[in-house]
Amino acid sequence: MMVQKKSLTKFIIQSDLLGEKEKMRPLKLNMLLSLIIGLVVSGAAYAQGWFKYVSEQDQFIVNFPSDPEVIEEDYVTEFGATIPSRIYSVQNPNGRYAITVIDYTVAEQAHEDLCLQIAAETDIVSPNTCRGRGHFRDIRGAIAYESWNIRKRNSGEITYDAFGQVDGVPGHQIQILHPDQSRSFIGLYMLNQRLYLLEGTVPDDYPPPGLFQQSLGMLDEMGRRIRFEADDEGNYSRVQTRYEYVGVEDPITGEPESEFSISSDGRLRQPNEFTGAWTPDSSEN
Amino acid sequence: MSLKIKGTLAILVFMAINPIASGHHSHANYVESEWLFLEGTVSEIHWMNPHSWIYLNVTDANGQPRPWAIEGASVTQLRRDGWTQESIQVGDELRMRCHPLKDGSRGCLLGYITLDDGSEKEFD
Repeated sequence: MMVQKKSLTKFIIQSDLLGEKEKMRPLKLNMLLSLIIGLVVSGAAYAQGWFKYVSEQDQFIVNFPSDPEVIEEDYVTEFGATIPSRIYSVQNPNGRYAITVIDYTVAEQAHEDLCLQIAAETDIVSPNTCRGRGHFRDIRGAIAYESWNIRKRNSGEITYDAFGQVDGVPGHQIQILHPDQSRSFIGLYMLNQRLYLLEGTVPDDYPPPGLFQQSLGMLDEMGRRIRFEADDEGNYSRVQTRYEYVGVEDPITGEPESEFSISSDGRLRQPNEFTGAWTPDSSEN
Repeated sequence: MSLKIKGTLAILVFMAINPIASGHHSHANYVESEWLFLEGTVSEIHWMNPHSWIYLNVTDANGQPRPWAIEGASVTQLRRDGWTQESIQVGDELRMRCHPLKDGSRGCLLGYITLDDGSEKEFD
């Protein structure tokens, strides 16, 4: 449990465009009341102990407050194919944090199965369904479709709904204020035909869940962080990252102590070695 | 050319060609054209990659302490900038300048933290 050492004394908010005259709104507060309320709120046991969780199977790394429960579910795509998904989730008094990985790598086979199923059930088979291209539409539209599903929940006021990216991987962010004043921060990103859907929901008396939403990293088959950077002309290419190591990090320095500390050419990397353009190795050819 | 100047030039060249200097994720959901000045008490601090987070209890207009999530740089970057885990502790009172979230929720992107001598030190 957190112990507040000092009372809160004042709050100054200033929010103006740069260069404009600044407004300040100092508020006098009852110090004793602040201390009492502060101690009560701090008693909500804001859990420490977030850690990096790595899924080699689904090739991601994310911050979780504790070990997640993992369940598998079928997911029905926009064009009717059934593909697998895995949901990694933690529910605690401070919120629910979940990452769902929807596996579109099997979308082509799933569409072939769908076509056979339809053919077995009806004499009329849409050429759009069975001409072997349905999975392309599903993959290209995966973020848009799942974003639509989230909006259709109608679970509250959508306070943010716009493009976002992580490590140069394009995606989408949605933020929702629910009627009970809880908030959901959602991120959707797709790489290598896997859709990563992150959703953190916290009650009104807890900080927004950016610690979860903004922590996603996507990994290659060797467990290295994947990151793309744009050049001056906006062309993206993969680069190495300073935190590409997915294993144990020194809790104080943040430097890697991991068997994954290997460069793209197989050398054991120095802790401070992180520069250079990405060079695909033989495993990626 | 002195060694000091050569060293400075080397750092500048390194920064110019080093593609990893930019952030891990887009800051599109923050209002980067605005600064929010916050003062409050640290309730949690998470020294993590790819971002460190400070949870700060800030008293609102009704006199209620409200928890904010303040996003900073990676722990690796912060260490290179001279921050250590001893620099900020739970219970510390902090003043900071940060970019607010667009949706009006209690989140903010650092920014700078004001030190005891009144100067500001980057935490991003």
